[in-house]
Order: sequence, then C-alpha cells, then structure tokens
Amino acid sequence: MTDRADRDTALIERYLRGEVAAFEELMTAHEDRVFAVCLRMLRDREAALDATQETFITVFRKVDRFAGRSAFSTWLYRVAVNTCYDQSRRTRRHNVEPLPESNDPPDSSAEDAYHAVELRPDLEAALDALPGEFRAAVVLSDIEGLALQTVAEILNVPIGTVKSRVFRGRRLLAESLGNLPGASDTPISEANA
Amino acid sequence: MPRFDPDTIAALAEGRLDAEGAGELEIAIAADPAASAELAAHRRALDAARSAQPPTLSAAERTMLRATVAAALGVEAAALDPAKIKRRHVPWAAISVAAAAFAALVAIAPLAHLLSAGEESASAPTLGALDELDTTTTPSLDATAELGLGQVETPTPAGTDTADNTSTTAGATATDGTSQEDEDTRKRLTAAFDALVVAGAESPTDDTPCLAAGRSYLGDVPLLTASFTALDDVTLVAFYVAGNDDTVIAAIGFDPADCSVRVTYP
Repeated sequence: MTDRADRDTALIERYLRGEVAAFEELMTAHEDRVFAVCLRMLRDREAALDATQETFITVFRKVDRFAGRSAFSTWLYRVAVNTCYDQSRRTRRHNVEPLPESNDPPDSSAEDAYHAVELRPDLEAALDALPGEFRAAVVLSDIEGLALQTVAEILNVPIGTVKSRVFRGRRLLAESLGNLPGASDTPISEANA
Repeated sequence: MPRFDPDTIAALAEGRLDAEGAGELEIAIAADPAASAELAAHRRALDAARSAQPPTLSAAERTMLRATVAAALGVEAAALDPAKIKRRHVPWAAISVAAAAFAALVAIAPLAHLLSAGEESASAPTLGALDELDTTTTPSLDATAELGLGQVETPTPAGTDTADNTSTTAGATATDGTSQEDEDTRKRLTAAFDALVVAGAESPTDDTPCLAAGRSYLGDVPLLTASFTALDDVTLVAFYVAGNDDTVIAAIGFDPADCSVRVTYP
C-alpha cells in the first residue's frame, strides 16, 4: 500500500466513525482527479460535474462495504469510469438524431466544448475519435499516468487487454494528430491478453 | 509478422527502458520503417497526452460539488432535514431560459416590494429573502438552501472582523461569525442581484472592472455583473453565478480601485 492508500484507509475509518473532517479530506484528495477523468471521458464540463457528483455519492454510500483489497483510489476511479460509461450511454440514447443534410454552420457549442475540456483542441478531437474503451485506457494510463496494473483493476480487464487498448489507442491518437497516415494491422490482439 | 514486440516499442516510447537497452533498440528500430513509424506514433501520442493541462474545478464548482454530495449523504447537514434532501440535477449552467421567463414575470411587480430583503414571498424566493429562509422547516425550492451552502466553509472576505459578531439576522449568515457591517454589505450584494434579475441579466464585458479577479474566484462559468454601494459609499462591482431558479449560487464583490475582495456569498 502507498502512503496515499494508507491515508485513505485511515480517512475511511474516521468517516465511518462519523468524522466530518474525514469526508472533507477525502473529497479534497480526490475530487480534482475524478473530475479530470470524467471530463476527459465525457468531454463535457456539465456532464463531468454530474458524473463526479454521482461518483462520490455512490462511493460514500457504499464505503462501508469497501473491502480494501485494492486502493481506495482504484475503487473510486472504477466507479467514476462506470458512471461515465452509464452517462455516455444515457446521452447517446437521448441524442439519436439524423445527420444534417445541409451545410449548416458549425455548432458553436461544439467549439465551447473544446474550451471547456481544457485540452489542446487537436488532442481533444483525437480523443473524441477514440472508441470508448480505448479512450478510457489512454486517459487513465497516458494522461492520468496510472500504472497499467491499476488501469486493469479500474477497468476490470486483464493487464494484457489494457496494454492492447493503450497501444491501439495511441496509434489512433497519432493518426488523428496527423502523425500516422493510416493504421495497418493491429499489433496486439486482445485475444492475447 | 512484426519484428519488434509491441510491448517493447511501447516501453521505449514511455522511457521505461534503461539507457543502454534503449540506445540499441533505437538503432535497430531505425532500420525498420514500419517500426520507426510505430515508435514515432507512440511518442507523438504520449507527448500530446502528457502535455495536457489537468482540468480543475472552479471554486464555485468545488463548493457546489461538496455541498451536493454532503447534502445527499446527510454529512455536515445537521440543519437540513435529510428526508427533505433529494439528489437533484444541479443547475451547473448558470443562466437558463427559466431565468428570463422569471425576470419577465417579476418585472410587472412593484420594484420596491421585490427589493425589500426579508419580505415573505411564497412563489418567488429572491436573493433578498434568502437570509430569512429557515432551512430546517422550509420545503425550499431554492438551490442554495437545498444544497446546504450555508454550511460550507467559504473564504472570509478581506477585512472581516470575525470578533465583532453582533448580527441578529436570522439564518445562516448570522452564524458564520461576520460583523454587522459585513452582514449589511452582504445584504446589499444580494439585493443587487435581485435588482439585476428584475432589470434583466447583465453579463460582464471585457471592460468590466475586476472581471479577471471575478473569474479567478468563481471560475470560468457564465457570470452576471452588477454594481452596488457599500456602507462606506464605495461603489463595488459584483459578479454572480446564478442558478436556474433565479437564485445566486455564488457571488463576490470587489472594490474596483484595486480589485480587493470586499464581500463574498455564500
């Protein structure tokens, strides 16, 4: 266990004893990073705020059942990622619209989204083009800097699958960023995971 | 069949190999165009990912998030009846069509009536009435009260004399240790918001004094602005984050002379 994980475990015990300060400390320690993950997964500030809120409510409500087999942060990010997947699915269900037939001017809200996400627009667009599972792997591994084993625990997949998704995600990112003219064969199959 | 193990290429791109091994591998890969392109792609993607600035919550978003989670869990919300707290979609987008409709509705009412802080208003809880809300008994539709923002620790306005707590005002503001003068200034801040709602929302422009300071406190969210006169006859400039139901979520008032903070809400 890391220092952070040990501190979190102690804070959870204090929170379960009813210490309000422990709640504040846990929020302070993790809220920015959970929000960052949600924002990069959902690419919409308001949706990310809602997902962050839902994540913390879920986690604190179930924290008495947290077994401590993995770090609290790992569990927290797993809940966050799943919340983002759920929210993304809900959004897709509500936003099934036909493609425009005319050359309408670009939607200004899309431009706003770039600023809201606080990423470089080219990276934002490239992340946007990634399939969800690749995006999650790249965000957690390459942007958030988490270890592959931790990412595997968060995504609840074998580490080989994470490697594959990160590898392929990077290739797609590079393609979108203009570095690679086109993807060739897939270097690692998830079947190898 | 790829000549180079993808894990090795990834490790090289990530800088996980020792210098000697990395050097040898770099030379070998340089002779293989496909592997070179693969390595370059990984490095470009990693550079882009690692150079991304971490997004952070604004002060207003952080306050709102903590208050909402706390309210949903019943943490630090002793003054709120948990049975009355229901998790709701927080109006993160500050101004809505509802605000405009509400403003049009109240515009026909006598202005003086709406601006008199503390008067009972069953259907239109304006900011001036906020101080009078008893969150333990009022089935409030007001976002600020419902979210328990009064219980969230907020920055103390510059110059606050916390020892001089002579306020007799009911509600959260009477218990947070502010002086009577601060209390009055805060009332003026919130009354200015009411007037702003009545008169129509006004967004700051690039020429609005202290806009950058306002954004640094309240975050990069849609803001409203208004002026009001403090007790010492200084005209302050205020910035507001408004909720969908014409309540203020957060506000701050500056002395335009030096953009020093004179009052904050909540």
